Amino acid sequence: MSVQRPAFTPFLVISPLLRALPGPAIDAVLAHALHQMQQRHPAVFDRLSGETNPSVLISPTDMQLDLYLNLDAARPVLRRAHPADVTQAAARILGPMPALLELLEGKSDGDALFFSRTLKIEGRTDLVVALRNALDGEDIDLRAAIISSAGVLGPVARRMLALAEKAYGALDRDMAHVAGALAGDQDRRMAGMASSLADLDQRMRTVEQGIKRRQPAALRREQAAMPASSGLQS
Amino acid sequence: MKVDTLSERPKLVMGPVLFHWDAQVKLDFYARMADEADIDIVHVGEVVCSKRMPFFDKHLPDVIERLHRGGKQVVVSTLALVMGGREAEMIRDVTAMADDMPGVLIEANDMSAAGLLAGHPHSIGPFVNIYNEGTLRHFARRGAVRVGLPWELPMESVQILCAHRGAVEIEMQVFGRVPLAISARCYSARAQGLHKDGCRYVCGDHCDGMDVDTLDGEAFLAVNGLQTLSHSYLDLSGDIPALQQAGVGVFRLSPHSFDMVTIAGLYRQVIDGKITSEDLQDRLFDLCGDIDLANGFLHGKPGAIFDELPDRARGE
Amino acid sequence: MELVCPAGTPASLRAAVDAGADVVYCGFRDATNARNFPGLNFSRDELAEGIAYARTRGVHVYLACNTFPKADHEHIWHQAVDDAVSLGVEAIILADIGLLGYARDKHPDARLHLSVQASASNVDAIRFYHREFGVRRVVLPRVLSLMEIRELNCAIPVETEVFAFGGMCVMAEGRCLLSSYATGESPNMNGVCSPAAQVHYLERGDTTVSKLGNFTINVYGASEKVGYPTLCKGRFKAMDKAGYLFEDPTSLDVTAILPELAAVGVTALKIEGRQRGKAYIAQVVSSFRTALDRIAAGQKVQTGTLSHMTEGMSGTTGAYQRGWQ
Repeated sequence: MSVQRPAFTPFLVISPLLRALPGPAIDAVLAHALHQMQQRHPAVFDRLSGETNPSVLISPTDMQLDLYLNLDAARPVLRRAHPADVTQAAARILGPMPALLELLEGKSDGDALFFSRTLKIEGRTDLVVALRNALDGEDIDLRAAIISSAGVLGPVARRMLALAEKAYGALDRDMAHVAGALAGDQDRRMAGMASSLADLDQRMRTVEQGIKRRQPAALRREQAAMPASSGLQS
Repeated sequence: MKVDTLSERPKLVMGPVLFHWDAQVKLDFYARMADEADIDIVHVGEVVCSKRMPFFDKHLPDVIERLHRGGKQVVVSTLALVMGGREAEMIRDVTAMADDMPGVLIEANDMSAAGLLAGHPHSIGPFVNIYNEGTLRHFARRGAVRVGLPWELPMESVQILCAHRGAVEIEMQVFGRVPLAISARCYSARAQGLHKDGCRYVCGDHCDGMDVDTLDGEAFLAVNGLQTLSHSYLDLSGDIPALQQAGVGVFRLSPHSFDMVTIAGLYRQVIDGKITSEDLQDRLFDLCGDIDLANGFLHGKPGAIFDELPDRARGE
Repeated sequence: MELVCPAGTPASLRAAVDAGADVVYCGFRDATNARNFPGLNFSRDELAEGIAYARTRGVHVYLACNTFPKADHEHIWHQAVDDAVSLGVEAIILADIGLLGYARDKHPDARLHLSVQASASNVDAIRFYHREFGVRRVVLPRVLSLMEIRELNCAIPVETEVFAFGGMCVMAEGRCLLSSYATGESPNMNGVCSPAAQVHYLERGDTTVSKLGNFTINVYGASEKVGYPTLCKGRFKAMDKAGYLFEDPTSLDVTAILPELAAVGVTALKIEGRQRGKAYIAQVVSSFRTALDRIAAGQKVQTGTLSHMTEGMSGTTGAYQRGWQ
C-alpha cells in the first residue's frame, strides 16, 4: 500500500528544515525522548508487555522521515527508520504529522481519525490499536518532552528545532483551508474497474472451491494428502 | 468417562423449522417426520418471528397429535427474542401449558420462558447462553431435563459441561445452518426496501434463508427475517463419536428444504457406527447440491471453517 | 438521569470524571469484560487509584464483568467479582447466570446490575433476574423502542439504563456469533467483536478493502470514509444488490430524544466506547453533561454537536424509534 498524495500540512514546508539537522542529532533527541517517556509513563510499556514484537514504523506522509518505534520495555528503540525496518516492523502507521502527534498526545480520538480516513494502518492492526490505547492511557505532553529532549542537542540544532516549531505554528492556521481545496476524488472509475476484476477473480475461486467440494470426500482427501505424502517419502 | 451415557441410545432430534415455509409445506414436513423419519423428538413452534405465528398456530394441535401417533416426543420451542407486551403474553400462555400436555416438553429460548418454566420439567434451548458449570447447575436445579448447548462452544467446554450434567440431557446441533444472530430489525424486509411492520412476509421467499455474499462475491451468511444464519451448513458427523463419548446424548438436525428424512437416516447410521462421516458427506452433496459444510466452532476455530484435521480434544 | 460513562484507561477515567460523569464504568484487563481489546482496561491497582480519584469528586465507579465464564475457568470471573467488591465499586455489571448466582451468594450486599449482554428485553426476563439474583438495574438491549421501554418501566421493579451514544449493536447483544463465525473470537467468550488482530486493510486500485479474517467486510471508493470493519456494519450483497444490509454506518446519538427518555422512566444513560480515546470521552461526556443540565434548567438542547465523533459521521436514534426496525 502506498499513499500517493501526501496530505497537505505545514510539515511539507518545515520538513526541509528538519532534514537539515544531522541524522545522529535527530536520533539522539528521539532516544532521549523515549527514555524520558519510559521513566514518566511506564504504564505504556506495561500495557504492551504481552506483545512479542511491539515495533511500529511511523510514516508521516508530509515529511520525508520515517520513524522506527519499538516499545519492548527491556530494549526500547525510537530512531529514524532504516530500510530493513519496513519488513521487520510488525505494523506501520501512515498519516499527516499533526494527526500522528494528536494521536500520541491523546488530543484526538484514534477511532475518529480512522473513520475520517486520516490515518492508515498496514500490518498488525491490533498492535497499532494496543499502542494507541496504551498511549491514550497516559497524559503525555509531547511539547514539553521534545523541549526537554532538545537539551541534548548542540545550540545550533536547538535553534533549528525552535525555528521549525515556530514555522509550524505560523503555517498551521493558513493552510488548513487550502488543504481541503486540493483534495480531489478522481480515479474512481479506474478503481471501479480494478475492483470488478478482483471481484470476478474471487468469484472464479469460489466456483473452483465449489467444484472441489462436490467431489467425493475420499477423493478430496487424496488430493489434499498428495503433496504432503510425497514430501514425507523423499 | 461415564458408562451410563453408552447404555442410553442417543436421541436424534428434528429442531424447530426456522424458516417461514408455507403452511402446507410445513404440514407435509411434519407428516413425513411423524410417519417416515427415524427420529425420536420433533420440535414445533416459531422461534424467529412472532408475525409468522398466525399462519400455522391453528395447525399445531393436529401436528402434535400426528407426531405423537408416530411415536415422537414433541417439543414446543419458544421465541428466541421476546419483545413487547404482546410477545411476553404469548410466552406466558405457552409456558402455562407446561404441565397440561402429556408427551410435550417446552423448550425455553429466552430468559422469560426459562424463568416462567422454573419448577416444571422443561428444556433449555441453544439460544439461551450456557457457557459454564454454574449456569448449567442453575437450570438443572430449576427443572431443566435437557439443555441445548450454544453453537459456538469448543469441544473442551462441551466436555466440561457434560461432566457436570447430572441427570440433565445434553443436546448439540449437528446439522444445518447455524443461527448466528437475532435482531429487532427484519433484514429480509430491509433488503427489499420494506419496513418490518409492512414486511409482506418476504422472508418466505427463501426456504433456507436469503444468501448474503461479501462484495468480493464470497458466500458468507444467510438472512431469515430477524435472524442471521451461517451460509455454511454445520456438519458435526465427524465429531459424533467424540461428542457421544463426552456425554452428549441428544443430536439435533435443523430442518432445511432438503430430504430431511434421508438426512436423519444418515446421521442415525453415523451415530450407530454403520457409516463414516465421509460416507455421510458424500450423500449430503448428492442430496443437497453445492453446499458448504463447516465444523469450526467445535474445533475452537472460526465457525465458517471446515476443519478436516483431527481435533486434539477428541481424545484417544 | 444519571450519566454513566466509559473508561478504558486511567486517563479516560479522569477525563470522564472531569467532564461531568456521574458514574464511570470500567473493566479489568482480561477476558472478563466485553471490551477485552489490546492495550486497554485496568489492573487492580489502576482501578483502586481510579476509584479514589472518582470518589473525591463525588463520582461512582461500576465494574463490567460481563462476558460468559469459560467452562472450567469460572474462578477467573469469580476473582474479578471478589476484587471489584473489595476495591469498593458501587455496582458490578454482570451477564452470566452462573456468575450472577455466585455474586449473589458470596456478596449478598453488592449492588448488581444486569449487563446489556444478558439481552433482557421483556418484563418476565427482567423479573427473573430480579427474583433470582436481586438485580437492581437492567441495561436494556438496544433493540427496544421508546414505547416498549415505557411499558417495561411500568411493570418491573428495577431501574433501567439505556444506551445514549456510541457504536450500536444491531443484533441482540450477548446472542451474536457473527464475530465468532468469521474470526473464532467471540464477544461472549473472549470479550471481543471483530478483533483488531484479524482486521486488514488492502489497497485495490484506488479503493480500500477492509477485511475481517478471510472475509471482505467493505470496499471504499477514493472519497468515502473508511470505517472499522465491524462485521454487522459491513457492506454485503443480497439479491444482486450491494449495500449496508444490517446497518448503515451510523452511531447512536439520543441527544434529540433526551426529554422523551426521561419521560418513559429511564434512570440512567450509558455512553458506549471504552475502546475510544480520552479525547472522545471528554467531548461526548461534556456534551451530554451540558444537555442534561439544560434539560434540568428547562432549556432547549442543542443537537448535532457530536457528529464528528460518530462512525460514518452520522447519528441515529436507533431502535428507540420504531422506524428503525
